[in-house]
Amino acid sequence: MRVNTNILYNQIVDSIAKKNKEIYEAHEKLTTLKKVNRPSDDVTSYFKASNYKLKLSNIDQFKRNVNYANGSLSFVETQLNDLNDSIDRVIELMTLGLNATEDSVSRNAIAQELRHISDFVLGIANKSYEGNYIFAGFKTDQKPFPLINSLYSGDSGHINVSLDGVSFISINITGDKLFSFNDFASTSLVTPDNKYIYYNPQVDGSLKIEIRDTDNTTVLKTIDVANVMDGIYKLSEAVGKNDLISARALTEVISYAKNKVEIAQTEVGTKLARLEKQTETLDEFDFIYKKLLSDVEDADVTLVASQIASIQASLEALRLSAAKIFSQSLLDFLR
Amino acid sequence: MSILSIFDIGKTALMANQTAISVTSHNISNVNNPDYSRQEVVLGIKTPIKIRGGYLGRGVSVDGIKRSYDKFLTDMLINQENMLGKSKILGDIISQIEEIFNEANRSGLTGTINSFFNALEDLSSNPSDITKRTVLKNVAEELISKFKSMEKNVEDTTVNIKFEMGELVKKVNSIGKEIAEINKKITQLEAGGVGQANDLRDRRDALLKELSGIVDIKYYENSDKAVVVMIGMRNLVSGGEFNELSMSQTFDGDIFKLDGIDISERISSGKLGGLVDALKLINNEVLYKFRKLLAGFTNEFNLIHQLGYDLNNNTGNNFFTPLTNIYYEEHSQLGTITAISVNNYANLKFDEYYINIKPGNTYEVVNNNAVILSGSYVSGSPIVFDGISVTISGAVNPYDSFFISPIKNFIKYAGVNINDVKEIALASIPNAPSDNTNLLSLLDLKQNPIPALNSKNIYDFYNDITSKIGVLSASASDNLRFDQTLYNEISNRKNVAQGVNLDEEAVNLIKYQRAFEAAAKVIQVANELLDTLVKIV
Repeated sequence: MRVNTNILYNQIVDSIAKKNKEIYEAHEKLTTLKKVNRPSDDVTSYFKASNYKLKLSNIDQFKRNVNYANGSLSFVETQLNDLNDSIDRVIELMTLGLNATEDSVSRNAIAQELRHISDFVLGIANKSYEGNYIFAGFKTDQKPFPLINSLYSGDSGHINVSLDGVSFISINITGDKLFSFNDFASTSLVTPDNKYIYYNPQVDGSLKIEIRDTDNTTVLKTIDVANVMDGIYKLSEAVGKNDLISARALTEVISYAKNKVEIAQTEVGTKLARLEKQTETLDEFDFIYKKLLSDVEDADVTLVASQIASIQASLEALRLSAAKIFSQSLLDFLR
Repeated sequence: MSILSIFDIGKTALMANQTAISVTSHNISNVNNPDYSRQEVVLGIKTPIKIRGGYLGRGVSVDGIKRSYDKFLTDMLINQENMLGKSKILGDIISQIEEIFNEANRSGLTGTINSFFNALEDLSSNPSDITKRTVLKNVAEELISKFKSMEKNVEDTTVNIKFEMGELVKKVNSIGKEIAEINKKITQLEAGGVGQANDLRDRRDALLKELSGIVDIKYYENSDKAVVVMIGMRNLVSGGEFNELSMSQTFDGDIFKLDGIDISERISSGKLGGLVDALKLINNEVLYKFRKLLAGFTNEFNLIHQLGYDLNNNTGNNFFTPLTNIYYEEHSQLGTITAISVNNYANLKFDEYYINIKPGNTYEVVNNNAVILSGSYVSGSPIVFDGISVTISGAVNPYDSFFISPIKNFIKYAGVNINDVKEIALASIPNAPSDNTNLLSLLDLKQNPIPALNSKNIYDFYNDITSKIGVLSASASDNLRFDQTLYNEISNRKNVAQGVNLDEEAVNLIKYQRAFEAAAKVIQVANELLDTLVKIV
């Protein structure tokens, strides 16, 4: 091969350009700390990375959902605990009130406390969290029980929040489940003095109580209970008036309420436990996907640094040899 | 046989070596000219004269100046320049486009789509929260403006491509003219077969190479030593004649005409071919799909949003600005589109259509080369397909055509249709501010396939665009590397045959200088001989 001045020159220029490009690419990896800096660097890895990033962003969002659900369910839980305590106190007071030996002074005191409790429970029923009435279903912009004898004005809507894109958790308990009598079973019972008490739940969620005489026909009294608070209120009236048969009839309302609160507490407790578990799962996935992402897109800094050093060395050698070749020609010797 | 003839012999040697030194100098001075072919003096023996006892030499003659030239390698290099021209420009443009879509080191469009869905999901726990609703609206606006700015960036690239095409066409014409001029000179100089116009030929080869880098050419040398240069079977240059290449824009794309004939189909490589390909790629693969993406997604989002109730208990609202502005082009003398509108948003496929008029006063609606609807043409009667209603009025003729695109201007008119954030409809029943059922349906669009997006979800459809660009960019840079290596290889081989080596020329310089000195000595000796004889007398 006949080697010419230009071939030598081109070869060296090309080699230097190639080495410079290699240095540029290695340096890009070093500054971004990523081995994939654009789709064409490695299409598969780029899309794997993009997919992992999407997963991570979703996980972030689910964590936020879980946090919010946790906050609002914890708030519900607190309300349920208060409600449970109130109902326990009602049961205590009711036992005292039903005791015929109590005098009128203490009966009045019991009646007054029961009235206070009915107000307190009404307050719980109309509690709001971040501006929304929590026991109103979807109709969170209005009080579910504006008055003590109001029927439930919310709906049965469950606010569902996604935990992982597939499963959902509802973050509210609707007021009808706690304070109305939709689930009350139609029943009747006989009192020790052989009178009859009939319980008829109505479609509007209220409860009609009929007290019949020993003949099981003559209606002695009808009590319409709009909701649990109303039941407590009416209980206080009955105790105040020493109307023992009415008070006796209303005890079923209180135990129904107690039962409902306990069910709700269990439900909320289970959900909170699930949320806790979900947080752990999400953290785990977060870790896994971060690891996967790092595997596909992060540059091995040590490797890149050593690459740069080796390219640098060969570039220097190239410059040195180029300088030697070009510094002299035959003309230098023909003097 | 006289002493004087020695003078003559010395003179021929002086002249020949002097010529050789000037050729060597010419070589040395062109050492860095890549288009130059090394030249050599071809020396011959002057016809001897017959004397008693044999023939006596009469010295040396310069028979010619030969160019070290390898036609095969030169042709290969010219051809490779054509491939390289295309690879270079395609690589450049695709990597520009790739950078627009590159999200490796910044959040990009995927990030914004994520933020949009996350803002929506944040509302799921408290759908009536005004602050969170405002965040959603802002993120939606950001999403739209991201689409707009990305579209603008891609469109800017196409504007640059068109400008560059125009410049290249000018360049082709100026090179064509120059080749025609050189042809004339070469024909004149080489007439009669006296010798080759070496330097002009080098210049002409250089121009052919430059031209080949721009556009696919075919060329040959005719009997007048002039080259005929053809693009797409039409002559750009023929001898001293030159035809102009022109470019014009029509709705079918850019039309290149040479000598009045459309040769667009024949332009497939070189820089110009690369630009044509790049433009097609950007229009068909990038802009088309990118516009379809936003149009298909926002329409689907609107359809679900319309089903919901907002905080004012209204229903049927659009979240994003719906399609109203449908782009169209009329290619008919008398027929015009008098009305065009969306007939059913749920049927929109966001594709592009041609309504072609056929003989017998009928029409065909064509989408992706398939006829999707046909019928008799009735002036003023609406033609309805894929959710669009088009009314054409006036007399039409066969081969009239109307182009309809619901996506071409979509991004330009895109926006968020919500003024007051209370209008965001997240409930599926009225009077239920915390009802997030419709919100959850909207959220499903994150993974649900969207019919207008070839039944892919928004992320997958977008990834298709990016991965296509990524693959193309990777293969473009592979091609470039290959073509560049091949080019360098051929160039080196050509250099081996035609290039100048300074050391070699230095040796030649000394060689011819010594010969010149010796020839001068011959003359001196002849002179002394003559002197001796004169002194005798």
